[in-house]
Amino acid sequence: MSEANDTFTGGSSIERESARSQSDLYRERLDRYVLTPFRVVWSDWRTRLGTLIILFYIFVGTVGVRLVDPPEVGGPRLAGIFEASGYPLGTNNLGESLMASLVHATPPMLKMILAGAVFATAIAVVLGTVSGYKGGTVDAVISTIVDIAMTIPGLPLIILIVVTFEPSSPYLIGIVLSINGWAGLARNIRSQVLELRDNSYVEASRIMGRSLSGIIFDDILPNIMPFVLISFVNTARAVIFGSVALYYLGILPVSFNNWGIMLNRAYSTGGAIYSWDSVYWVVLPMVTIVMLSFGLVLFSQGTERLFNPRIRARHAETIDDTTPMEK
Amino acid sequence: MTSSNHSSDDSSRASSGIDRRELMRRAGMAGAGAGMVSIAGCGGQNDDGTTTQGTTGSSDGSGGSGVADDSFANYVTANPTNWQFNHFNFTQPFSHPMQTDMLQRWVISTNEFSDYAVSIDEFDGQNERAVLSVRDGLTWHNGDPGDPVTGEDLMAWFVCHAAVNSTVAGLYNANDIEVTGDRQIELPLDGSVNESIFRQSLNNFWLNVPYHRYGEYVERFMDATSDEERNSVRTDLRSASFDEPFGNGPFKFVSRSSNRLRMELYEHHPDADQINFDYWDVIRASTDTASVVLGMAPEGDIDMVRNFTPPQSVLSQAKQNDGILTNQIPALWGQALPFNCGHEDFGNIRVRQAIAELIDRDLVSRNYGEFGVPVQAPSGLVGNINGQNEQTDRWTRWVTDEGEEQLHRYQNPERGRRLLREEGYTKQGGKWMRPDGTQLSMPIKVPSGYTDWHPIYQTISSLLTDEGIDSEVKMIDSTSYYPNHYLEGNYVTAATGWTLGRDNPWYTFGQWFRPLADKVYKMNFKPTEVEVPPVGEPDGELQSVDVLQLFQNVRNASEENLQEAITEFAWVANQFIPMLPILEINDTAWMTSDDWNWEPAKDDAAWQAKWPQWWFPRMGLMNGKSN
Repeated sequence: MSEANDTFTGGSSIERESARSQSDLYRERLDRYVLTPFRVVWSDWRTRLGTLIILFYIFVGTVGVRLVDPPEVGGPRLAGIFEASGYPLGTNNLGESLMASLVHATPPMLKMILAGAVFATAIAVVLGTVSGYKGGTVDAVISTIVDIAMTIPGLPLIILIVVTFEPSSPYLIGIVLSINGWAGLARNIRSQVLELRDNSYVEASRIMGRSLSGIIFDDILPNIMPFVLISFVNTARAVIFGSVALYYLGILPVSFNNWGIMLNRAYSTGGAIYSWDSVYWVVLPMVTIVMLSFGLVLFSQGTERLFNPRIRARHAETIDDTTPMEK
Repeated sequence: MTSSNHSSDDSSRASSGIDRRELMRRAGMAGAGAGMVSIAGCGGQNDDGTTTQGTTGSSDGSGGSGVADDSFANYVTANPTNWQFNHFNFTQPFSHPMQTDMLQRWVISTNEFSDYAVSIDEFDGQNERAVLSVRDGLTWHNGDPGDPVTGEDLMAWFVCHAAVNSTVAGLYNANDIEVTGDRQIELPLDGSVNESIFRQSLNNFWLNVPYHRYGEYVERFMDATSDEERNSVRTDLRSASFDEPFGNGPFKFVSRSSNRLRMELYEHHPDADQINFDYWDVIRASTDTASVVLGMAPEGDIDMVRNFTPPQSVLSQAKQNDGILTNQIPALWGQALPFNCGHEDFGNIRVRQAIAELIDRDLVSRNYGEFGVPVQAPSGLVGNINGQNEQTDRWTRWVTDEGEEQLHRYQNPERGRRLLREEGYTKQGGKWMRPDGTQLSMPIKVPSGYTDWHPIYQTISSLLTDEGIDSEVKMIDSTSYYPNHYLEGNYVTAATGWTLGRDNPWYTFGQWFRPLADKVYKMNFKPTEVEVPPVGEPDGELQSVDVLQLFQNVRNASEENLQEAITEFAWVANQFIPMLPILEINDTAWMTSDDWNWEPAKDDAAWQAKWPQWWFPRMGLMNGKSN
């Protein structure tokens, strides 16, 4: 953005740069890249709540695992919530603490979600924007690749890869689970970029000779970012649900705690859907999964404001509506 | 899961190298075993069935014969229209215990045998002959009445079982069987055979090989002069598919649809007058057995689920329903942890023993639930549980008092750690490291569909992980587990049963040690290379033992010498532990009582013969309540 705005400044940037201290520069950067997004996020209840939920999961996945011991067999069997001391959320049929299981399932789940969603979204964004913006041969080649990827049936491919390579790292599993998720997203992004590339402000940037990356990062991406983030969340949820399905089928190796496995065991070995006595066992991981999904959705819904330059400017202390931002 | 002994035998098959339980699974049988005798321990996916249509006889729900319900229905999950009627063929076979008669009845708790479809008139194990007869009055369902069941049919039974290499076939010479009367044969034994082993070998079998249907295979097998020809008969017999049902039991096939197979009372059966209802239905219902069980009474169509091990919550719900009865019968079966004895770590007897010491079987049993008890002395001796789900010492009757005391119990984790250290393993930072510096790893492959097994192996994995051994449960799709993993020896440790549904240790030893092509095919070791410590000295120096001779000793023993022969073999099994027996479990049968009377008191020994639901109608101990 700053480069684009340089055109409209009075006086040279070099003069102003020399007139400012280094600390002012850092303060401005902190304001623009950290505090302003935070204020924008905080100003909307949806994003605020979503952020808090995500932060809570990150806290559980990083600090919580150090505070709560890993689950161990041998405790009281099938104790309900607050029924047995030391087991606030109850235990399963092996006597494992459900709270410990939930907590210790968080890091691998977050890793899976992060790896899968980042992988699919990054590939989709790169290919979709380049394809949509560049057009011509580049677009034809990338579109062909995307078309091929879209025609490969996802689940059989995932099963084949998993059975062949038996990945045990949560990062790898996340990537495998979303290995086919990027193609549709790339196509959607391409469509949006096709529309955006003909907008007047993009036209203006092109005429002024801005670089491809500059135009994409400053003019195109902010406009498609809300959609990208929603897709990121959907991919994340797909990773969660995909892992549940594959664990249920016995295709993924059970090398770490997993909410999906908890659900499956609650149903298959706990009979949790047949009795109120053990329904807590199926509800707890379900709530955990739903809450994370909900947090991600809320966060993504409010992110439109985060990428809106006008709103950002309104919340930035170091920018006024007529002053261009500095890099 | 469903299982059947209807057609196949319970023990290892020398030819195919597959035991019956495994063959069932290998064939992906989850369905047709409607009537098949269960193999224990298959809760979670047992009898099968589904239901979509009512089955009671008349539109008002009452029967036409003065009973509240004129059709008794058992549960399956498979589509009856897919079944064929050759039970030797493992592809969708159907053969029902009410359609054909069992050879004999055995009450587990009292160890009483009674002849049923077949009687053993004479048995002379030392002189290698037995005389057997078909029950008088038994006829095939091919007329009104049909043809009598004859000695020729009995001969066909023994020949066909020899053709498919059933374990029972190892006890006699099929080519020299003589039909000595209308209903009688003389069976030449293959060497001397202990009588109790022979008796036991006839358990869980039905008289279901009519000569008029199987004669072609019988003749071909008798005429065969080479292994190639005999193998060809076996292949053809295994692949033959019959469209027409046959039977000699109290109920005769009438019709089938995609949701129901119906049989009607066959009045010429010797026990038909004990039965006061008209039909026996096999109904297809949901694969979610728990929901089927809970819906059986008061409104459900299903009247029995032969064997289902429920989660605790399902059991609690069922107990609140007065219309649902359960009873437990020792499964003569239990879950084990087989080791790949060709593995770098677990090929070492001391490492296996260490693992055995580190696994708390009591805790595993607790986590399995109320239908299992821990094996007291892992040695292949069956009889740790009674019909009340209590631990018993029935297993000790197989061995001498001294032998029982000497059997190692594997309850000492400290010894396990010592054994590992002596073998060069070291514990660093809470992890057991192999001599090469990597962590000792013990993945356990488990079939994903056998959900009632899961708590067992999850507990083992958790215990070993806590100990510092890298252990994880690897869920394998149930349909590929046996053919592609366990039976191929493609595992480090795995999950299976440690018995084959019979309690004579000879069968268990066979499962653990019988070689196929010079090695025990599932566990990858050569019986000729078995070494164990001296009797009574678990930490003593390893010595070679002649496993094949031990087999002979047990098989040929007189009743007086049997205990000693078993004691000798049990020590070898106890020390070598190619598989570690963890639990022995009960099977749980489910029945409705809203329309049906089940007469014997729950503590009556009659409930301890497999399966009460098949025997009681024949014995007049179960009938329909009157309108």
